[in-house]
Amino acid sequence: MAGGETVGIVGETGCGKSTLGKAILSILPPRTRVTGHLLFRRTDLNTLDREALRRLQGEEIALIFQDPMTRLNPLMTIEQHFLETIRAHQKVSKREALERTMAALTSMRVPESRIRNYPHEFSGGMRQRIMIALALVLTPSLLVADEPTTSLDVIVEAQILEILQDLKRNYRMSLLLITHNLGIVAEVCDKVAVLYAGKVVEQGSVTDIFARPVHPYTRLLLQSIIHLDTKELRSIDGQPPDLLFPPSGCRFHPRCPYAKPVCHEKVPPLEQFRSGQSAACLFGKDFV
Amino acid sequence: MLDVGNLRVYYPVKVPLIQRFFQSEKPFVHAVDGVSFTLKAGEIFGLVGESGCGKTTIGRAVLRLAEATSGTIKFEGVDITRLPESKVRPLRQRMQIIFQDPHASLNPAMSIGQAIGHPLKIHGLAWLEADVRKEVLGVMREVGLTPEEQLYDKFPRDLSGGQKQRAAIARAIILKPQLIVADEPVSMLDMSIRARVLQLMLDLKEKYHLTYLFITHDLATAKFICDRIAIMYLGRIVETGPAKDIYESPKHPYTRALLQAIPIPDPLKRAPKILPKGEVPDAIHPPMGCRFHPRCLAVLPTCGWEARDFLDYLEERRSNPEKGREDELIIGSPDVWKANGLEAGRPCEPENIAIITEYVRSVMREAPAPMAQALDDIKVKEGRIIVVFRLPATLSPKKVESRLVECLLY
Repeated sequence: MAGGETVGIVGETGCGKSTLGKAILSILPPRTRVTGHLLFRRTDLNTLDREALRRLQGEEIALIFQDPMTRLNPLMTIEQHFLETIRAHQKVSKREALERTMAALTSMRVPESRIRNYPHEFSGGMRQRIMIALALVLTPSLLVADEPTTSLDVIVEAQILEILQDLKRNYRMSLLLITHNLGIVAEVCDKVAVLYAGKVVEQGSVTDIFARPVHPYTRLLLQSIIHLDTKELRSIDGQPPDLLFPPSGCRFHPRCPYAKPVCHEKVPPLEQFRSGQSAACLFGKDFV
Repeated sequence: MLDVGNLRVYYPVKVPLIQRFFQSEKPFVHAVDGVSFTLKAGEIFGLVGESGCGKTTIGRAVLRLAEATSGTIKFEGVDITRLPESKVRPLRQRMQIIFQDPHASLNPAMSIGQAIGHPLKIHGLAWLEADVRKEVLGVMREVGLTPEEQLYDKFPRDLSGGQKQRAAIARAIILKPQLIVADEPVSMLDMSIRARVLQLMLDLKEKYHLTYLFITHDLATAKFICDRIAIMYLGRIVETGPAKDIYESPKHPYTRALLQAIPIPDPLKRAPKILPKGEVPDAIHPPMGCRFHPRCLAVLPTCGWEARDFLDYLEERRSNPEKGREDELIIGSPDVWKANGLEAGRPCEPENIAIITEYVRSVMREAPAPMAQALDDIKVKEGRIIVVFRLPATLSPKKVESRLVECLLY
């Protein structure tokens, strides 16, 4: 991910997209086995100690979740949330912290007058805006948003997406957007990675992937979206696999209409098929 | 087949005892507030709206799972609104429901076979285990729950989301009902299997001549599957008509807003959106006049401006640092104002009345034109400054082309 870019991580339930987000924030459950590397500006997050990580989280990398109600403390006012966050990371006076709180809230169109209210006193959309303000108050350079609009209605969802895009433009912040909604990816993201059963099956620019998908899963998934111009219902046969026992070879082979015997055995590498677009399919060149 | 007339469903709000002493009025959630529509046999009728618009409550009221506060529900010509429970039971053979969450609607302690066959036993249509089993296996094949012999003894936890929803559909059709209320039947399912479940519902409809009341928040799904659609907002239907026409040229500003807000899965079709501000207000005290008026982009002076809108407007000015500070200095925080229907008032010391009245006047002049034009008077009464709005125009559904629209634009 380059600075200022918006990258979408898209996939269905259980594909590992939220786990990926949590891994970036190092908030996976204890004893989770993590290998490989997670480079953030040349620093491997997997090798950092707790204190260095804590400093980085919030200040450089922030996270917003699907359901803000479960992430805001019901016993704390909005003001307390902000003061705690700011002062946990920076030595500033209460007055300065308050000023920054006000600025952050105003930029999210949350009235300053409601700073002493509790989370339950806000509507769902307002809570998500508070959550975003809280994530941005330390001006991180990367924002990870895990299904930020999934619990919201379609109009409020569009409002929040607009806010996120404004932020991106104004602060040159990078945004990693985790979602199951391909429509949102198409409207907001520059690049996208499609996940299936714990693996990236295809990645590239949003325009390429939507116009000319290479991986059969991406293609079938795009065809199965029901949108306003849908003329015919299409779906993908079978079920996503059980990740306790993932299928051998290409994990999509049991559902892939083009699977050949070799797909059962060989794990396809992520290969570039067009400039900036790669896919993990042994027969990718047939679909280019 | 189904005729719903002026249906109202109000839920009482739980109020702590102490508060009850001070409140003269009992608060109600106006979940459904005067809704009428008819369903023809063999039709798929969509109730579409955001959460809290009352669509689910209507579905439940139709099946008598929620009590109607007033209005009528006629099923095949018979008024069932006040039918005693003993007479409702046999009726449910002919009307069934599919719930949104298949994980919650199947009893975890019942095997799939038992769950699907349960309605047969409840309605006394089959007693012998062998008869039930035969019937259930047939329905399971019908809905694609195969291999049916193996799945019969499985429990809900052994099934995927799509399979569970198939089981819920099987349970709904085993009695061969005429009407099925489908409450968000595919929203919990992943995109790649959604279409298959919808296709199944369409196939079953053809085969058994079913009629669906299809409840959804997803306009794209509604467009694809429904013949006619009613768009709901905060307990009211704002627009009804053939699905195709509503999508081609939406008439109500709320329908337009909804359609515009849907993300389009094509990065080449990105376009700026003009969205209504704010969120759906609470249904305990719905807005006066047209309920969408505080957020509407095409609002008129007669749409229902009231005291609460004035207070919201003052609050909004507060987020503008300059105006907010000036307002605070001269007329104090919005909290000193009390809203009462069309009148917003605040106490005022006699010596300040002239200044404050003049300032309020200028604040109203700066308000968005429709609201400013709805102002009737700013008066002084018993030491209070009162901002009075004009009565809204009466709103009733009007025929606009192929649709019924409840909007003063027409």
